[in-house]
Amino acid sequence: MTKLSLLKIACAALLVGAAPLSAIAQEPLRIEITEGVIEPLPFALPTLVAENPAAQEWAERVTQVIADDLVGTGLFRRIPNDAFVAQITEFTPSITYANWKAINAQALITGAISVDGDQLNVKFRLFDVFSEAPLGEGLQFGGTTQSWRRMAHKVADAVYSRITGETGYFDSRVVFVSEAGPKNQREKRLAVMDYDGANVQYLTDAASIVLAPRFSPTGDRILYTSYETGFPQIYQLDVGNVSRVSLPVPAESMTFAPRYAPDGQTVIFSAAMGGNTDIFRLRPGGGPEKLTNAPSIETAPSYSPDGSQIVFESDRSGTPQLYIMDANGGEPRRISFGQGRYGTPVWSPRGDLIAFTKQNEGRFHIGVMRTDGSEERLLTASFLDEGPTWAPNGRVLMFTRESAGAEGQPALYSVDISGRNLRKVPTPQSASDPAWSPLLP
Amino acid sequence: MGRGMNPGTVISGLGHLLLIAFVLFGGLFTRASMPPPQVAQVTILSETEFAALTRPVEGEQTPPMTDPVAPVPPVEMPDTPEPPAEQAPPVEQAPPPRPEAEAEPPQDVPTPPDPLPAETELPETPEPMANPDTAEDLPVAPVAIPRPADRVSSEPTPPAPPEAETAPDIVETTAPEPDAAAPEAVADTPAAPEETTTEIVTEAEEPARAEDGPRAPVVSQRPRPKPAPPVRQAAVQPETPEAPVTPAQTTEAASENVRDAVQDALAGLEEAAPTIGPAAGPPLSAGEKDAMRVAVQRCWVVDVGSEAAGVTVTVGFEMTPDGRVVGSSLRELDNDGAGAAAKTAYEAARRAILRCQDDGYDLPVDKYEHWRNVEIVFNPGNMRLR
Repeated sequence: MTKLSLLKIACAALLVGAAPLSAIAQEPLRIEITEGVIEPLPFALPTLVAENPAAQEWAERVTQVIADDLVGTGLFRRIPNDAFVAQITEFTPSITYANWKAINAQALITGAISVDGDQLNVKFRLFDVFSEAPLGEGLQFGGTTQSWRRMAHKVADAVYSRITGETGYFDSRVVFVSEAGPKNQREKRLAVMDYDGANVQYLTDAASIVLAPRFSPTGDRILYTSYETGFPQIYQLDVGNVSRVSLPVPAESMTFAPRYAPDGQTVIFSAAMGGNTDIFRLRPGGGPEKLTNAPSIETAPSYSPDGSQIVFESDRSGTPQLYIMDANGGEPRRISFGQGRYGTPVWSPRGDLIAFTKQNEGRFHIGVMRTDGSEERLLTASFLDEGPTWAPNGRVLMFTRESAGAEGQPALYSVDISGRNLRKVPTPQSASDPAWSPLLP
Repeated sequence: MGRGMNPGTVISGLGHLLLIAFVLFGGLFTRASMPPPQVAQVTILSETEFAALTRPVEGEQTPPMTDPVAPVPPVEMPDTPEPPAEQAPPVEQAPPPRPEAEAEPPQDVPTPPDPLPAETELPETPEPMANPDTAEDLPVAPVAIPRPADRVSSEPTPPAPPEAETAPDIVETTAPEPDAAAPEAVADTPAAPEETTTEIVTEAEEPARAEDGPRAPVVSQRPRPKPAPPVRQAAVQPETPEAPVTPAQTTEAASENVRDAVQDALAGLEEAAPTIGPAAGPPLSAGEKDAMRVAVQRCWVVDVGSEAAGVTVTVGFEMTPDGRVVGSSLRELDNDGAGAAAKTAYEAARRAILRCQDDGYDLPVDKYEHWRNVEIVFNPGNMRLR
């Protein structure tokens, strides 16, 4: 007892002696915050300043597209212009931050636009209001008046990137299957559009059924499946001149579910021969190489961003599940173990997640999971959700949602990987099978 | 020679005396060493009596009690060795009554029924209680009762240890909680704008939520350290009851208590250290710190789907006496991310600090020295998507 008490006293004495020393330095108040809030960041976007009379009509349109892009992410909220305390009448770097703090704008975007013939010039600056400092340097984009939407998307991408620290996805396109007519006699055509549904262009006619289009990593080619010959065959379409060629796939086989490798040259696909479906690889100058060899159905392959692995769907365990194998084939490992059926896996451009379609208890879901199968999260639920595709920055998923009943029609929807911000993508007709392009140059 | 002989006899005489004295002293030493353990055992017996005899056990276990009574008399003084052997059987008999009283927590004491026989003499037990601190005095009495105590103590000890073990475990958990303990209550209240939310409910989860609605909350509440407050109490309580309840382990338990006490003292000093600043006034209370935390938290916008949501960043800054942030002093002290994600995480944290200061954070001016310099750790770990 006496020893312990002595030790206690000694320890206490040492600490008491040390206390004043630390006190002299006056340690800072330390606080840890583990819970924040999830809300859109309010920003102010005064209409771009028209630097000449001809630019006036473009100023409103470009401004609106920039605002729509940002608000459409669910991460930003635009403060109405009529709430402004001050107006921006010229493109100047000097800002009276108090005016924007007053309306609680955390970011301020100012810009100007000028037109010279059919040449459009757009420039902008971004300010962090509460830090009272610009966020990055000012940027300027030039182009024809026909590409005004792209310039607006470019501005929005830059703003998005500077605030979130991630690349944007607004200046991108989506290829999809445009559908018309009743379910039992539906016409399907390939079409491309801006990511927000604008500028729709048709690539094929309705003479034959087309399925599952996929953009190349450079966005200049599209792989798709067509029933033109009566059974599914893979074709490659050049977006520039809309010319197409068939791939040298195994004869007398049904080929489908094609997808490019990250190198943009190699193609992987599924082929059904002799009643069995396996995954094949087609490299430039070579013939089809069989990557799987099982009596079960292996399909829907998708490369990892680095091209070293392939995730695919297989029913070798009795029900469709997700598996990952080396890019050269080999023994796959199963990564999905939840209840229900898994299919159409797609590797995220970030490389950290795999999106998939899941069918369970009579409902379909779009979900994501880690590449090891952990942390599965279902983002949507409906009568029929399927075929997810990743935005170029790996932040948003677009997929097909079809309503129930004989009159049910498919449509395109997008959802943030957090499960928030579910939005319907406007298309002129029913649409399915979306595939996102890379960010345009 | 004669003179030489005389001194020799004298020396021998002194030698004998010394030897006698040595023997006497030696005996004393041995006695001194012996008593301590006996004392501890004795105390155990008396207290067990308390637990068993005083309340629940008597009414329910009276039957077993009566049996032991017989052995008790011999135990009183002379037959100390024998009684233990006899007491052993009663102890075995005690178990059967346990099932009856199982519902009651005190049943842990049921083991004490063994001591009960010897403790039928209630008057004696109270005495030790009166002189609880005088352990030295108790040794004398123990001499008579110590034997039974040994056997009895070996059995009751099992229940006692669990208590001592639980205390330390809980104490460890308390460590992290103190800071967040108070915040919990406030954490829910700080609701910000209407559109604000701290949890994500995907479309896929909505149906389930309509039924119970626990899923999403379960994820978000994962970090809650509620045990904190109770833990402290638990840590404190064990000390008071332990002294009386488990005297048998006085030496071990006491040493552990002392260690705990020392650790508590150290922890207290560590916490107090920074507040002892020169002319700093009293330290910030937990509520005041919490208010500051909540004030910043309600402006900290986390983009849970971004890579920045995986970065913990620490921001340091200075404040003026009126609670305003010195903008130029804002600086990133640390982060566990890299590249754009880390930069974005810092900017979001900086915006939170600046945006919610309004006309200055509400902090006590008389404690200015305590919050002149502030460091805030923005840890979105609890909000990450899972």
